[in-house]
Amino acid sequence: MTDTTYLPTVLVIDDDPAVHKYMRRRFHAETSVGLVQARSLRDAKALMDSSEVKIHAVIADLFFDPAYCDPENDLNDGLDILAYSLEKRPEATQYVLSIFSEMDPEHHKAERLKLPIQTWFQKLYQRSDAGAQAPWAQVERDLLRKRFSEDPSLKVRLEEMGYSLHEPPDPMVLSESIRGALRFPIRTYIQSLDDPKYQIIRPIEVLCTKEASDQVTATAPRLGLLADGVGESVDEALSNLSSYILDLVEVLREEPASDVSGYLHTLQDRLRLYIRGGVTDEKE
Amino acid sequence: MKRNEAERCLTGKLGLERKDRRHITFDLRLDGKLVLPIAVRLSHGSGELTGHELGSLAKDLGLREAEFSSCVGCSVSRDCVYACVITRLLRRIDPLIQSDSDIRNLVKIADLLADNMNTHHSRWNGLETKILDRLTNDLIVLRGDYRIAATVERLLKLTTNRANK
Repeated sequence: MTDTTYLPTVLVIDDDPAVHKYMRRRFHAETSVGLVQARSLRDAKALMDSSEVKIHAVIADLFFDPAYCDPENDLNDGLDILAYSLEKRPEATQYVLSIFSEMDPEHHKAERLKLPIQTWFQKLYQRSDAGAQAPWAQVERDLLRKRFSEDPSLKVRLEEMGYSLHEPPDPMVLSESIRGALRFPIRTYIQSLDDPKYQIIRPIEVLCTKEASDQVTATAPRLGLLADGVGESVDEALSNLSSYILDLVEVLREEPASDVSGYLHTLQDRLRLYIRGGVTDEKE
Repeated sequence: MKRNEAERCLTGKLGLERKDRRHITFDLRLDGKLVLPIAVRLSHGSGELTGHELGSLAKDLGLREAEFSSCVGCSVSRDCVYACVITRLLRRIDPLIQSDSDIRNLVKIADLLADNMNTHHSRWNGLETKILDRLTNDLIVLRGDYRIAATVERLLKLTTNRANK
């Protein structure tokens, strides 16, 4: 049974690119949760404001380099952006991931802002094998458990499929059962391309589905492409899809504007919404 | 299948235009104009295609793996294979966004296919006929579109005649 109504996605906000790289790899390899990422509080705000981007959980660092803050909108640290998330995305579960997770003043501020922070993760967990306590594992468990509690029909469906869940269900067994029974794709986002000439101006939504052959197929449903990215892992499939998109952008860029019509024109328009730098800028 | 054999099939029999990019890409042009960008792509390299590459190449063309392998050495003239494959590709475009120019391309290809079936009907083997049936079934959904209705009827008539022989 494939379920496409629930594809959990987490927004990770951190000014350190190494954290993003690490989190992306672990979430994609070890969970069914997709990612959208922001390095600055301004970018995080824009993602929360966008109706196109789905966010089921937010993981924020506490302190940001001033260059990555957004003082104009009173967003000066991770708790400020979580307060903004509470206003714009009240359904999103909140987490902190910081080396300063145990600082009292921050806990006091979170209480004052009435932030429903589920867990304060220590960033050191990234560099060790934290197993079931690792942020990615716990976030997935929390999201699946939340889905279970919000969707009464899910318990019935799981029991019909032979999963035996005692009350209260063990979180590990529950998440394994849901993941095994529903087999939903991973909804994640392409936010950069491997060519500095081209810039993604809004995240491209991608659905990654594991095929029976264990290969992963990455599809960008909003772009109307004729092909998918295929790979042995989610990251490889995404990389393959990204290079296809880059090739496509260049094919269209080289084509005389007068010859671009029909499907090509639609495709070009769609790509323009997401990518700046290469589609037809020079011809406009 | 060897990589260069597949490339020869794509550029020769299927008439696609090869370009070296991040991947080796194959565009479809009709009368010199781009119809489908990157209809197919292959990674750079040499030797045999891996099973995965062959599978995804066939999938990109709207064919099954065995069908693509078979069309490399088939005895039907190149136009019909070419027409069959590219009509299938065009059909993959969302019908809701098909414009006049897409439909014109579709009609041009389907007519080419119908002409070829008329002229060389005895050379179509069972597998090719199956592909053709699938293709025609795909086109039936466009029967209500006045721009392609006559072409679809012509194809249907030809396939029905074949089945009755």
